[in-house]
Parts: sequence; structure tokens; C-alpha cells
Amino acid sequence: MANFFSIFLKRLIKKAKPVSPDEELLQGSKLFDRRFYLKQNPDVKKAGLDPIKHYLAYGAADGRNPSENFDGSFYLQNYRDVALVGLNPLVHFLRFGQAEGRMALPPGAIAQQGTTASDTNPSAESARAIERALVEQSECFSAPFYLKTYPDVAAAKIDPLDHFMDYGWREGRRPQPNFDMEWYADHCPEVLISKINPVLHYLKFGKQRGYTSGPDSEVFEIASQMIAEAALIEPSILLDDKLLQAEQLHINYSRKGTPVLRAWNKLFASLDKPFDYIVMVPWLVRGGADLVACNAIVAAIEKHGVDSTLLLLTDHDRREADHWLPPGTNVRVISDYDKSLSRSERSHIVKMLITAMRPKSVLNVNSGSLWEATVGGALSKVTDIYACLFCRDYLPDGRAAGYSDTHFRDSLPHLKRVYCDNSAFLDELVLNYGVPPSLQEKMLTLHQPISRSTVNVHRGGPTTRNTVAWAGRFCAQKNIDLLIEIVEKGSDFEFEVYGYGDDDLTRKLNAAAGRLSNLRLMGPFTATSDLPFEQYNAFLFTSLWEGLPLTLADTALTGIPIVASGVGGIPELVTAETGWCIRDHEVSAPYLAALREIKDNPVIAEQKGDAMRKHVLDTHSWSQYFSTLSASPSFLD
Amino acid sequence: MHTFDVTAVINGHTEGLMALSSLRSLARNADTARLAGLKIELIAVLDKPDPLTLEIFESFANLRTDIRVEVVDMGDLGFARNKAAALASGKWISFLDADDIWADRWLVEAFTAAENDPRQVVWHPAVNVYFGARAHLFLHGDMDEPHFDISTLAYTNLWTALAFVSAEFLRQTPYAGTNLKQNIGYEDWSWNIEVVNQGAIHKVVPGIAHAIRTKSVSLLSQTIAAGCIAHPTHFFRHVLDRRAKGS
Repeated sequence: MANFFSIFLKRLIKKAKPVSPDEELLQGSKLFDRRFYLKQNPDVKKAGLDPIKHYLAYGAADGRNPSENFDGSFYLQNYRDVALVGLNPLVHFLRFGQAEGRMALPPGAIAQQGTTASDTNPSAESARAIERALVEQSECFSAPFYLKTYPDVAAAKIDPLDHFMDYGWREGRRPQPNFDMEWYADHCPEVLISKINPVLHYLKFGKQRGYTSGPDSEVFEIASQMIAEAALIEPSILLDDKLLQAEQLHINYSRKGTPVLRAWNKLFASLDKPFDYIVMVPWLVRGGADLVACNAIVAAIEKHGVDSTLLLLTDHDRREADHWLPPGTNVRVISDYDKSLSRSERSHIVKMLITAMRPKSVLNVNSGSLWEATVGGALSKVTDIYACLFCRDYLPDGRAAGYSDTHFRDSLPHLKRVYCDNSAFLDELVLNYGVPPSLQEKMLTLHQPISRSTVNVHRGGPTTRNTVAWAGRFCAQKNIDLLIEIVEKGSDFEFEVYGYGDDDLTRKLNAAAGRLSNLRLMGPFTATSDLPFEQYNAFLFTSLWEGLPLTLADTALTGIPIVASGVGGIPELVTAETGWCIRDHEVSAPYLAALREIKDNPVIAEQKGDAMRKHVLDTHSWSQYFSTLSASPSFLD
Repeated sequence: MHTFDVTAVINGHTEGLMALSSLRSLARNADTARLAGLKIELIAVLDKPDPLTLEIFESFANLRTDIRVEVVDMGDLGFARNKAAALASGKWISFLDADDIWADRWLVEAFTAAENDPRQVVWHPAVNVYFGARAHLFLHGDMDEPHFDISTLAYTNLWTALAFVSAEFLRQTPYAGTNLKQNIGYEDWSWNIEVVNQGAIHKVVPGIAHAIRTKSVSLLSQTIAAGCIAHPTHFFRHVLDRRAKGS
């Protein structure tokens, strides 16, 4: 694989233009050290690739550094404007960043190596020294003010300007009374996003552009006058040293440019109307929960129209399943306004959106931000909040970590209703948490609809081969180890596996496919229902935990015999009448026994398939879903 | 015709000895304003006062007979302000909390600004000097500023409650109650939003400040701890409705 990859990469790179402007730029810079790059990246050397071409095409994206004197990861982490637009960090630094006073290395690295961004510029004697002089000679830094305002600097006997240039500006310290970092960032947000020294930015660019660096000095005169007047009737005010010099006081102001506020301002500005029905999801990928969210969107649009409905992606920017949404669906993505927001910041934005817009109802489908905002109950005073739960989720070490464990108990009193795609999990929650009858009323089983009502009915599969299909994401939940064991022990079957997923498990499956002749990896699939079921005699499902996966219901509609682990809500679909539900789901033997029964008794398999089809059409139809979802209190009310 | 130009209201509760500084500030303001020719009415509204606070106010009123002390049993600062508005005979009304201090010329400067602006405006000082637990400056925003973004009002409260406003407007736009147990707090934030919802604007009186006492435990900190939101409002929804209609 590695050889193939190298050859492939080489071909790709060779196809590139011989010498691009970026290549020329890097060729002329000491910040690209060919020898260093090849030494650090033996794969590039082994493949005989040009280091600059490789760095520009792949290396920077992989987090590889072009030399000891430039830290690309640091640069992108610190200058988010560069990261956001996907620019090569070194190219940006050489073209713009250097002149803007940006750093090529973290401050620690500079201290250790005695190297600054400017040292790396072969044409400048020392950019830092120049920048320091620029600030020193300007009206923007007052050493007496700095030392008086920040006694820790005075106590440490550090040169105040050195402190400011190296640390102070990052810590938001004011270089003089009239230069306020937050104020400047408010007028020039890119400074805050990019973490450029605002004083340097002001001196190099902002001043010419007419930006103000802080409040008018009149503010301090007004404050001083107020303090003097107050002191006549409230002498204690003078006991606070800070109040003796109004210039030294921290300034707060209404429009303070925090990342949350900026993102919120942009999100609100993007709204062209209010929405009554909002579905919140962490992201929109091609997963079961995402399909559940899309079903709710379809139902809301069907009942109230597209103009009343909004889908909000709260936690991430992944948006890969827009094709599941009806045309014209209104979608907003919090990450579009700031990718780097924390969970609590996103939660704050969710809270603001709901309190400002006051939708009739909000449905939470795995949005961590909304779960967090729901706790405490304030939001339930302005809207009806509904939530979907599916099953427990687990950390790699086995600890339960899904929202049913982290947020369910605190939130349930504030939720209008909890929907679950299977009743088994609701029963489990009631039992585990001792949910009283008054709150049990809020918990409703909502079977999700199958994605289509007509499919090609399975006719028994091939008669000359015993083939089994498995489809899903390669992750711990799907019990890939058990799948491999079943394949190993089921040499009388051919297994074809569709899917993609975690690197480790993909490697494990690749290795298994290399040694087991009855295992074939078929690659990713778009929808389970699109798989060529007629090529298979049975469908195998090995999850360790589940809700009631919609993909399994979609598969079941074809009537293909299903052998599935009896976890979560699966026994509500796969019963003794409709398939083979494996209760002892962590060992291979019962799965193999079921597969052999299907092979040996095609008539029984067909009967179960027919029963399954009927069950699915009865319980997973759109009309049944819509009717259950509409039962008041409903997200659709 | 109004009997007074301005009704200056001081709201008390359990400030105890701290209230005296505020009472003196109120009196100085009244004296300054009267020297400038204004007719000033002074009302103290004590909401569930503790005995010490009541004694401080009554003692002050004995010395200074132009202040009228009203004791109410609201248990809600917003409702106490509404009560003051109901009692006020002035054209304008302004509030002082009984632990804060006005700049001496606040009433004069605010009156001048208000009389010279034909719009429905709630006036605030340009600068607030916070003293006590966390000394800092808070600069009020002005809705006439070109970069003012109304959605910021959903993010944070932009103005203190020590405003200067038409008494009639206040009676038409009363404070909503708070209920910390029900997660509804921030009577001042809620009212500031409602002001804009009613078509009025918030502006600052240039060149003037208030001094605001901060305490380690305050109504604000209790409100935050209770996970409160401002009183539910349809204001921002109306903004979006207007956008949808293209107006």
C-alpha cells in the first residue's frame, strides 16, 4: 500500500505545473530547508519527491514543517484567518504574515532558540527589533503607565516594552491608557482572530485606515471627575488604589468583541425571517441520527411549510447529507460564523437564538450544544423543547457517555417530550433512573419511517453460492472483531462487507481480507437500501449496542433473511417470526447457526422474510411516523 | 402641565449604612438642578426594607423634608420602579439605587439632552465607574452610533437601570417582574429590550458618569447562579418579521 501510495503521489505531483509562484517563493526562502524536510520525512525522500512540491501539495496539510524555523501548526492555530481560508501557512507568512508582524514560531521556541519570526527573514536584521522600535517611537506605549498598571511587571524587573511585545499584548494588557485591545479588536476583528499584536497592526495599517485605538481620553476625565465627586460623599472609594488613576481601570463596553458575540451577530444577520420549528443536530452526516433529523425536517415542512422550518448544525461543520433534505430547506451552521467556538460558546449561541427567535418548538437530535443549553430549564420558558434519544453510547474504555447518561436526567423535567426509535431503550431509562409515571408520559416510542415504500423483493439470493452481506461503519459499536471471527469460522460462506470507518478497524479488516479467502471488502456505500441484496442469501448485523437502526428497517423491507444481534431496539424488529435475533450476541456460534439454518431451510427463510416485510410496512410507514409524531404534545404542534 | 420637571427616585431595600452616600448624591443632584431652575421631586421607594435601611431613610427625610419615603412590599426591583412611576409627578423620571452615586450634574445634563431630542429616548450616562468589589469602567453604547447592532442586546444587557426617561413612557412600558425560581431575571435587561420593542431608543448623555457599587454577592450574581434569562420577549422576532417583510 505504501508503495502504491508513493507512486500515486508522485504521479499526482508530477502532473502539477513545473514551477508555480508559490514554489518560486519557497525556493527563494531560507524558511524552506530541503535537507531538513527530507530528513524529517523519509517517505518523501524514499519516493524521490521534490520536497517543495510535496510540502505545497500535501506536507503542510499533514502538519509537516518546512524547516526548524517555521512551525506551520503553530501558525495555523494562532492565525485562524489563515487556517479558515486554507492557505499554506509558510506561503502566507512570506507573502503577508511577516510584514504584519506575525510569528513564525511559538514564543517558547523563540526563547529557546533565540530565534524570532524576523530572524528567519534573511533580508531583515531583526524584525522584532524593528517592531519594538516602531512601538517605542510611537505614542502607543507608555512605560510609566504600563509599570504602574501592571505591578507584576515592575516587580519582576522586566523591561516593560519587552514584556508587552512578548507577552503583554497577548494577555490583553493596555500599552497606554488610550489603547484598548478589546476596543481595537472591535473595530478590527481580524486582529483578534489572527492574534496579531494590535499595536503593530494599528501602527502599520489601522492608523492609516482611521481606526481608533481606544476610548477618547475624555472618558478618563469623566471618570476622574465622577470619582472626585463620589469621594466627597463616599470616602471609601479612594481606598481602592485603582480608582486613584481612572486610566488604569479595565474598560468594559457594550459592544465588546468576544468570539461568541461576533458569531452571534453574524448568525442573527443571516436570518431573513423567524422560524417556528427548529431541528438542531451536531452536524449533518450520513448517519442514522442525521436521517432522523431529516425525517423531522420533512415532517415539519410537510405540516408547516419550508419557511417555518430551520435546521441548525450546532457542534461541527460537517455537512455531507444535504441531499437528504427537501429542496429549499433553511440551514444554518454555527461553525460558518466561527469554527473554533467551544461547546459552551456554541451552547450560548443556541440559547440566544432560541430566546431571541422564540420558535414554537425545537427538536434536539444529538446536539450537544442544545443538550447543554437545556439543563437548568430557562429555555423551556420560551419554547417547547423536544429531544430524540436512541441508545447508550460508550467510550472506548466501556464507560457510558451518551446524552442519555450525561444530560437526560437533568433535562427531562424541562423537555416537552422525548422521542425514541425503540421502546426497549425507554424501558431501560425508566428502570435505570426510576423515572416516575408523571415523567414517563413524556417518553414516546417513535418508529422512524423507512426511506422508501417499494423495493425489489428479495427472491432468495443466489443458488450457487452462500453469500452474506454486512454493511455499516467500521467502528467499535459494530463489533468488527466478531464479524472477523464469524468470517473465520464460517468458511462455508462468502462474506462481502460494505462500509468505511475508523483507521484501525479498516486496517484490521484489510488484514483479515488478505488472509481469509471468504472475505471481500466492497468499499463504502451510499445507502443500505441501495445494496444489491439479490446477490446475497442473508444480511448480517453484529452491533454491540443500537437503537433501532433505520438502515436495518430499510434492509428488512426487501425481505432478505436477517441475522442480527439482539441489542437495543433490534428485537422489536427482528423477532423469531421475522428473522434471527441473536440474544447471545457477542459470540460467533449462534450467528453461524442462524446462517446455516437460512441456507438449509430456504422456505422458512422466505416465510420470515414475508413476515418481516409486513411488519416493516405496518410499523415503519411514513403515515404511521407522521401520525405518532403529530400526537400532542408534539414537535409539530 | 407637570408639577415637576423631574422626579428623582431612589430605590432602597437592604443597603443599610451604604444608603446614606446615595441619599446625599440624590440631594446634591436635586440642589444642583434646582439652582439650574428645574423643579425636582424626590421620592424614596423602599421595597421590603430592613429596619436599618428604613431608619437611615427616615432619619434623612427628617433632615431633608423634600424627600418623600414610600415603603412597598413588592419584593421586586422592577415593580418598585413601576410604583415610583405611578407616584411620580414629574415629566421625567430618573432612578438611583441606594448604593450608587450620580455625578452631581446628572439630572441637569440628562434633562437638557432629553428636552432637546424630540424622539422617545431613554437616557444613560456615557460612563459608569464601578467601585467596590471589582473596580472598572463600563461605557454605555448609544443606539445612534453607526456600528450599533441590535442583536447584541440578545447577548448582553447594554445599559444600567439608572436611566432618565419620560415618566409617561415608563408608565406605558412598565418593568416586568422577575422570578429567579422560574429562571426569569434581569429586570433591567428585560426593560431595556422592551424599550426598543416599543420603538424608543437608548442614548447616552455625553460627559456624564455614574458610580456603581459592586458587591461580591449581588442580585446580578444571584441571577446568573440561578441560570436565568431575561424576561421572554418577542422583540427580536419582530425584527426578523420586519426583515421578512422587507421593511
